[in-house]
Amino acid sequence: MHFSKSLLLFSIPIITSGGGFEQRYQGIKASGMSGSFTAVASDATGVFFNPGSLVLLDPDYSISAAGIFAISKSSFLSEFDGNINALNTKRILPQLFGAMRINEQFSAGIGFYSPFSYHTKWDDSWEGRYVSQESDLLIQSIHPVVSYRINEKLGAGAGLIYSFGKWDQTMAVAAGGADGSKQLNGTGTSIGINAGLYFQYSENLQLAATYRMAGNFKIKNGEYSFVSIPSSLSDQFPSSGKYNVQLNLPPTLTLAAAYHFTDELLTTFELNASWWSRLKSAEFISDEDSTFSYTRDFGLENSLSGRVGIQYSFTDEFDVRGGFAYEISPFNSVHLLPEFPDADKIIFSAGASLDLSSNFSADISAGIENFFERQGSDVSASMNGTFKTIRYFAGLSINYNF
Amino acid sequence: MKNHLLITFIVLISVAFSSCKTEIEEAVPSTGNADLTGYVALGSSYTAGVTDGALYTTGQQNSFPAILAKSFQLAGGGTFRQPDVNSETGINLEGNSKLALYIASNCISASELKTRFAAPAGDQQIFANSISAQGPFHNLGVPGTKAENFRQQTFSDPNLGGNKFFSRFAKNPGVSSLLSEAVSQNPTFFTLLIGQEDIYDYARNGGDEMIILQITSVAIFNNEVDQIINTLVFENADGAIANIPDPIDIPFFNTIPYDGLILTAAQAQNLNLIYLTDTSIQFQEGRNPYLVKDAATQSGFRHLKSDEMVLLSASVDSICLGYGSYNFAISKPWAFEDRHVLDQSELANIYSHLHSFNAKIKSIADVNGLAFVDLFDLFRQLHNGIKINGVIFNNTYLKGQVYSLDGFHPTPRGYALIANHFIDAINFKFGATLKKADPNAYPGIHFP
Repeated sequence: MHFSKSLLLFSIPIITSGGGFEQRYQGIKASGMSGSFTAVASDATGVFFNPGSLVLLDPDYSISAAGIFAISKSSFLSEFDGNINALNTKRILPQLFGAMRINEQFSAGIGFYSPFSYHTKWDDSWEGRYVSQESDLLIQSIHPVVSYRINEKLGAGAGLIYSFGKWDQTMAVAAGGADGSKQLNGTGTSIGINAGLYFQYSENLQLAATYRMAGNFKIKNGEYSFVSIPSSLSDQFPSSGKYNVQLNLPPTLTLAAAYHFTDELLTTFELNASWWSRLKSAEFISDEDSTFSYTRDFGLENSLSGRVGIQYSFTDEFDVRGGFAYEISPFNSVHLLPEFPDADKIIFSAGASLDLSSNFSADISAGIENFFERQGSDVSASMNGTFKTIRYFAGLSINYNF
Repeated sequence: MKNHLLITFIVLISVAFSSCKTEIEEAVPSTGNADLTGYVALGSSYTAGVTDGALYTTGQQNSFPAILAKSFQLAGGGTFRQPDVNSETGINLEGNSKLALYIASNCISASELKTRFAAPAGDQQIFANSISAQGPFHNLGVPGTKAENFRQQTFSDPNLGGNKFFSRFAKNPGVSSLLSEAVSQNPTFFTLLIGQEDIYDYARNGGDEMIILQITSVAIFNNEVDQIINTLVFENADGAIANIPDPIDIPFFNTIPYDGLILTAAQAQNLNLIYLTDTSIQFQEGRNPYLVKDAATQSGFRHLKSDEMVLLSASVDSICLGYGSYNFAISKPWAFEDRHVLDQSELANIYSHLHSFNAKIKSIADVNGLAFVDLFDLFRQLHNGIKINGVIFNNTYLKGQVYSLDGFHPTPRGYALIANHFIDAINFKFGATLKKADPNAYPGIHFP
């Protein structure tokens, strides 16, 4: 892709982030601008993007209920077989954001959304079946924040992020020449924080800086089971039991700017740096039966993403917007895992807003996440090949302000 | 302004959606400088596809030449016909069926996996009729073929001391040789496995005890290799030739350790009392070398040495009884028969031939521009294991998945690994880009 060269500009070696199994679908306005929304104070999604912005919102109450529909497709090509297509996986991710003014100085807000999600399902008999048949990771957050007006131009905010979710996996096991199955089902939680500064530098220029960390997602007492194991091999495969595993979710630092060229035309820019290197591996540990315990190497590296958004107001009631993002994958080419067939990706998105009445408005968005075709290996499994993934999303939100 | 924006917007969106397929462009495999349209395979039991001690349909269909031919066909190779035995029972040269795995109770009532014949006898129907009319056959692998058999006309007629697996498909029994069958097809490409049977017929039977079984002399081997290769190269055929693996890397020879006798202090003391008269026999707590019969010693027994090999054919149940050194049921000392052991001189004999044969194979490959397939190296790698898509293949008996129930012949998964080793060598030598086989897609050992 010719985009990659010009995009190097974005990846000037600060630390950058995004990518991996992080999802930037929060807010339908934001998703229409490929997530470039940290320096915009226009609705309750500031809970996620920048708690410093909430206190600068005009309405006293602002509520946003939304849903995002996303569909992923992946293909794999190895040295053995021809193209193998993963099954399309679909997600509907609900969101709810609310903000209210407490007084001149303080606002409070709360959000519910899905910051991390990755679902991959390959055919049960595909050649990588012993590594992964299906992996379904979904983490959702409940996120209260407070926002404080330092002065006319500067807002600051912070919040507590409580996350909960699941990570279910299925893979085949080579039980001699026959295939058995290994299933993992676990739910877990994590506690994290976010904080943000929102600076109204001038009428036309806003600047923002935020830090967000979702914490360490701990699955306790997840359940594993081995099925269809021949009886003469049962000593090698514990039939079922409990396990613990921890995913260290990446902290993300964001620097962002928004600039109004005219009253109608808004442009936004941001850089996200994510410390994915905190997640080097997932250690599946069973206290009861050590024959189960194993480590899945991720080898993640810190990553960057850059985003640009544009919004044009045709009338006071109707806005259109678009966005572009480039996200660098935290997975390196020797950790190309079939459960996370990740690659650097470009995201194009578009969206629109329509005021339905003085209080009600609706936003829509749609986009495509185009992962670059990527050749590599999962060294720990000795699996080599090329992956290609594309994801589409569309979202709708209804907003109520008063 | 507004129109420009809208147009830009529409252009961007259409660019984004223009590449919405996830299909990955696949290189078409090529045969490089090799002509793979007329492939013939020459060799012995590995080439024929013997698995689980016999030639039967599933093993034969997944012989390494059959797997190789599938890869050739993806690059424009021709048809590849095998002399189908059409029997899942199978048969071997001794008339036995294939082996099957079952859970047995051993002498201390522990359950263990054992093999037995899958049927009372091999399927004699396989040898009943000639199928030569269905030929020509491209897989000319015949179990039991030694170097000097490839050019022998009598090898196609069992009445003249020939081979039943050959006579069933030979065009003209008593006249056809394996090489003449190959040449009559005007081959453009051949694979040759030679020398393996010469060494392993001797090794698998425990060496010298059977005087009739001697390893082919280096002079005869070298001459046969020269004659065969010269004939095929004269026919303008390209080819690949494979060397011979080391017995240490094959479960039939490495599964039972020489010092697998594990004793308690009391057991060791008991045995020491029994063998009091022979001071060279001493037992201690822990690991001990097994005993082997040896007429040259005072008691007729001696301990195995660390560089000797116990064959998988040794009766392990006897080890279980009487600590592997004494049969309490009949109050007699017990030891391995010499035919179940390769001693130092037998191994020296094996290795000197193995290294000479392999040197000849390497040099004939170099001189004639053949792809050299280093099976010795592949089998050595299997010692540590080869991982493919999360599955480890190694030379552990049964669980390693490479070798079948007889401990010597590969499983279809093992044959796929061998085929891939041929593909690597052919790709390297002829600049081809043939696709490999996924070993995990082939049958392995099914555990009960």
